[in-house]
Amino acid sequence: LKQGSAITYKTAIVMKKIFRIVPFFCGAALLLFMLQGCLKDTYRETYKIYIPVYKSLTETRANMKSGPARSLEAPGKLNVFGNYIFLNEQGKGIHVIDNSNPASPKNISFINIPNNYDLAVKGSFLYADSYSDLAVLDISQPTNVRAVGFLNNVIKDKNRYWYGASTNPDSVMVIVDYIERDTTVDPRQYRQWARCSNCMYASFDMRGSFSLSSSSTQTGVGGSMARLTIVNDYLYGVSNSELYAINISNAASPQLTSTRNMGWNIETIYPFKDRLFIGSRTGMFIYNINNPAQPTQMSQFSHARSCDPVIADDNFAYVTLRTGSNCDGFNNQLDILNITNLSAPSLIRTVKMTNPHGLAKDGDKLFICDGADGLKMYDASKRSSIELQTHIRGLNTFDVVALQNNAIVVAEDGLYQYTYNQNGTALTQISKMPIQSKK
Amino acid sequence: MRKLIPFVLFFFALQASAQGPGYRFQSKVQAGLLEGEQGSAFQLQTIHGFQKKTWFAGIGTGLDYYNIRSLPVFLNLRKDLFNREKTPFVYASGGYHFLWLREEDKRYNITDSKGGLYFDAGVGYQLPVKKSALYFTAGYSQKNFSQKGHDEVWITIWPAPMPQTRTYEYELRRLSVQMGLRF
Repeated sequence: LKQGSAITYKTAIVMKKIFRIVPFFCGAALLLFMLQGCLKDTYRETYKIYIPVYKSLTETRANMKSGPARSLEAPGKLNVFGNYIFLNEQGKGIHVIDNSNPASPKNISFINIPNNYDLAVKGSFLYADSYSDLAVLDISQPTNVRAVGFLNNVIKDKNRYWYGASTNPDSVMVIVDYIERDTTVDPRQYRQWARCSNCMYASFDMRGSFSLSSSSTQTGVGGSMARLTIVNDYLYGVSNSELYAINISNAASPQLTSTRNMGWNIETIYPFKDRLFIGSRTGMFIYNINNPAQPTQMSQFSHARSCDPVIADDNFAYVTLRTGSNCDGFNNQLDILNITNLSAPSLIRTVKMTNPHGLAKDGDKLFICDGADGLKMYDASKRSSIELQTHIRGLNTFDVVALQNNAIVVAEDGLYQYTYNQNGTALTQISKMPIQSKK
Repeated sequence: MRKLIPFVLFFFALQASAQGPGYRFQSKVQAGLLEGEQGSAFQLQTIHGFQKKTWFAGIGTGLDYYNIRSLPVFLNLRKDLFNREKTPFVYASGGYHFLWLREEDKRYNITDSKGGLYFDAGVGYQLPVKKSALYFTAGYSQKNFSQKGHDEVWITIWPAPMPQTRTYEYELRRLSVQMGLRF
């Protein structure tokens, strides 16, 4: 070391000190790398295993009957027949609600129908989809509903068990429920299971006197989101791609009379007089049912891709377009179409909406379920234009049926009923049947 | 980040109230490596607190890039074995780490990510360097975090169960070596 250079000297002292502990540091680092393999992380992945519960189709159908009332959990489409509301519980069945007093509706029974999403009512019979089958249920006693007939495999795109040549319901197995089991695994071990072809599905069993106020021939009124509807002696249904015409003149023994391919993304069907208005994600179709066994297309109105329930009256069709996870598109609006010339419907007005779903019209009142933006009541007396009269916020609405100054609304948190009159602008809530969340 | 504010306020309150005899305010900056089952990662920390004789207590924060980026906020305790600048010591830090997700930390099905327990404990050696001190530490460190995600059920039977929520819980164990400067 050169004397006389204080900085160099001090630096050297510091370096010497540092070098003294370098072995300590190197030793610690070496120990660290040697011990690295000893340290194992802990992962916990918690999820549910669903174990399917199978029954034969014969057993499943034998259990298609009413039982005690259940609370609403995930209500879907509805059909109003006289003093009764038939409200779908998505995938599970149908609630029967005595609505003799709309201010205090009574949930009186539940009809167990596996994989049911749609329904229509005529007289003493309720028609409901169950997987790809159509079930006919005798509803003459609302607390003693029972299945009286079936039409097998009519809604082809819901078929999950009619394979091969088998038509024997004893040999067909149906998933009727799932048993949930909370499970916690180490994902590393889980991934090893996933690589095991025999283990991947280890948790899955891979076997695979009704006091009707209406006459017996009267039909129920469905919402605009319906896929089933009845006109006289025919039940019409739409699947994702087909239109079915089913003769129900013998209620317990429905007969398929025609199937028409309509292209993809068909969503809703709405009857008006001798016409069917069919909503798809790309447009609205009008079908003539002068020959009820063989509906024929009259015209089509195309629009931007989105979900679109439709209703109609003599001169106008009302189409709501919405976006959403299944709907694609960018439009949230109400289109009013002039259908005076049924062969060439034309757009006359567009009204901006938030996320419109079902809609209904009673007299001059037009009701729009605008998703999370609530329920809107419009004055549609001017026909080509509409005027917002009342906007009920704070509920996430799905579908509505409006009859005789009573609007029945299916919302995310329950079944609401409102009263109104044709001359006023007030829309007053008279009852709510709340949803009980599944624990 | 708003959760950090109480810690900072607590620290300044502590600094203001603990200027009594024998207390020396110290700041430390340290950086190093974390080694564990997930590989190697960089860490950087700063600690501020008070030394009295052979004891030091402070609060610290930093950056931890092990597996998933996070910001630990912790209390740090240190006990020197000798009451002099050149001394071995033992230390322990414990607190909470907040996740600060990078793009590569994000997964398409994860809807919620939460930080969790953070701690680090080990031994070290300090030697004086001019008016400050240089030190080296080696220890064991752990950080826990959890995530929630919604998974579609990809099975061929129908009706398929509803999409479900999965919970992922991680306890990451690492060895930690750091080099630090005390001011």
